[in-house]
Amino acid sequence: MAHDPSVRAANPSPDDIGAWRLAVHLPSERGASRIVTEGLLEQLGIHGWESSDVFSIHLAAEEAIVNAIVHGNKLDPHKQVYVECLVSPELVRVEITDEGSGFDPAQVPDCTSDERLEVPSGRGVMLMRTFMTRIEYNEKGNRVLMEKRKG
Amino acid sequence: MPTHQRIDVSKVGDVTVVRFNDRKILDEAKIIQFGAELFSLVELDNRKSILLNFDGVEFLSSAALGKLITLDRKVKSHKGRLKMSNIRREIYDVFQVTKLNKVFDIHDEEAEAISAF
Repeated sequence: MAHDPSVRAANPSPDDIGAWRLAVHLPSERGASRIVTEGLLEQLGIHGWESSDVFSIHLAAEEAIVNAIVHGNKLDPHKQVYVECLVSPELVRVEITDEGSGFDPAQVPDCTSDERLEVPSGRGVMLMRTFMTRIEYNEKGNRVLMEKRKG
Repeated sequence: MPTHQRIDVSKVGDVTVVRFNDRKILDEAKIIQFGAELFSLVELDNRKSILLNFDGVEFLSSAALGKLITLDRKVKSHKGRLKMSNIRREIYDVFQVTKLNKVFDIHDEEAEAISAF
């Protein structure tokens, strides 16, 4: 049924109409996030997202991909990061999976506490949570799903 | 005077004014260079009053934030003063949610920041 185009056309999800999709494997190298973010930024403009939302989505995607490459795969050249993106006029979804052993996001210390305020690292996950509408990790902690809804 | 690639350094009175050559400070190799050039102002040139003018900077990642925090600590340990100005709204939001607006001395405009030294 799901593959019948007439059925799909009769019951389209609003997020599927005219959506741009990307699925790509990235090498575990510094700077590889650019492979995703260049297309993502272009499509956010095409789909009419405002510059403040573009900033938020860019920041969250950058932080999540860098985390996957550096902390997840530990820059291992034998491991890859798999990224799926969807951009529509109302919804952006980015899902990032690494081949690392995962982590528990609940254990990431609060970077705004007095004792950690001047620690130079550890802000990525907090920024992703703040700047996206929804963020979920799988149980293992090696996959993150982030969504931004317009408005 | 060392040559900088990521930053542009000038003097206004006693204040060293730093501007940034990149609109987006996110490429990790560039961030390492960005940090090294900023730290050299304190550690090699022994500059005491530094203003970072973010005019034209549209984006910075948490890795770049980390360099700014380290710079702030180095300046303080050298008994200098660091101020920032001309930060666009979205980047200021990042400083606010991470509470770094309480750590950094942030001003709207360059002239206002310079007169506050």
